[in-house]
Amino acid sequence: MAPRTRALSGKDASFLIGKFDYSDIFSMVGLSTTRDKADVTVLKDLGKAYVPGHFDGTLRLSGIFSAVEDKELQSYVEEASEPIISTLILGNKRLDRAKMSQIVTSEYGIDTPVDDKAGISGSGQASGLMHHCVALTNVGQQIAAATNLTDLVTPGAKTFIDLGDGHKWKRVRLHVHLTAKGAGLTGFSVKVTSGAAVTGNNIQNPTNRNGAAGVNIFGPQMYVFEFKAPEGQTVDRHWTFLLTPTGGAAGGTVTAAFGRSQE
Amino acid sequence: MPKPIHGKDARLFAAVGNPANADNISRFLNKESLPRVRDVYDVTTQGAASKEYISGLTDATFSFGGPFIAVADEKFSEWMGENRLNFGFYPAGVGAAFGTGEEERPLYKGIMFLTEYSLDANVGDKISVSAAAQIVGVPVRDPAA
Repeated sequence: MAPRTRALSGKDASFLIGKFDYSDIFSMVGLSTTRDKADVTVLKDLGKAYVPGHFDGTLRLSGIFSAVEDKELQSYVEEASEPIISTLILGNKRLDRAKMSQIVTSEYGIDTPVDDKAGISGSGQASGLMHHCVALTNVGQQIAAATNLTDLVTPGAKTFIDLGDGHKWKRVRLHVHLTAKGAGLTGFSVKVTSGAAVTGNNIQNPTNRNGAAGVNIFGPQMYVFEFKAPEGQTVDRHWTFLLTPTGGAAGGTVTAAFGRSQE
Repeated sequence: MPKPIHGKDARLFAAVGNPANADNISRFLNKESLPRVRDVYDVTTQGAASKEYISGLTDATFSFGGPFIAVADEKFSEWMGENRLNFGFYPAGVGAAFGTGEEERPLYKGIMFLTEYSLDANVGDKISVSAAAQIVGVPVRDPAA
């Protein structure tokens, strides 16, 4: 895990989009969350008055042109009909801080100046950007056997994933970037365990795109699972995720991250 | 006679809830900025020899930034979801008594909410963070101007 009380070099960041790790072509990644403010100043006020509004997120990227990655990146602008998950990890180890979002790509450009490298740049809206996230696996963790990912989180342990008392959230999400699939890896399951429920609060049935258990894997893929608190409520609860691959000699590489948001 | 001070002595304290529990977050920062502005309206008429103005409402924002440090990132990420953040800013450093300002070490205090939190990871530099906030109402100076 990267040092928690020391600064980090940009070279130590890792960035994944969809089923690819783009850490070897991007040289700069920037993520911003903004919050609207509404002017509520009235005549009697001595100074301007505001109330906070909606959150918004943006993503900025730049790097070197590579034909293999270009084929995928340009498709995010031309063809992608759904947001694509992205995970920025500040480090490359399990429990390193992370930022998670779903990207709606608005721009992808290629620049080829005569006196410099061919470069790329991109930008987009970061839908549902979460700053409060942590890597559940090492970046590109090898799946050596069917069971070696079952202890990503030790239930009850005071890791960040175990939110503990006082950590209120409205939305939690799990990103799984399966960047390579081994012949023996046939699927995986995601199990969410929770601590004592807060009286009066109920968790909505989890909403996800690929199912919470028994997910079949046919190739490299991205998976996202999201759980939301009921409207108007926050939840104060322990959460742990267990990511269990299935199959014989599994094989493949995976990067997973977990995040929570107060909005 | 003015006494210039170095920026390294500035201190920013902030907390959700009781200001007495405010945390010294300057240990994670390398810059803070407190711009205070006032609306200005151009009322120049055709007979004027030069431009004329009247003043309007005041406004204040706060911004800070520094290297990415995981424990600070946890704190700033939490603050993005809060609507009221108590702060105390000592541009010249903390004086003898925390919580009060002195003639040569004034204190600006008030309430703010974050309007932006950004992170930049550049392969040729340190990972850095920056944040901007809207101050609610007018920041109070101690001692009063």
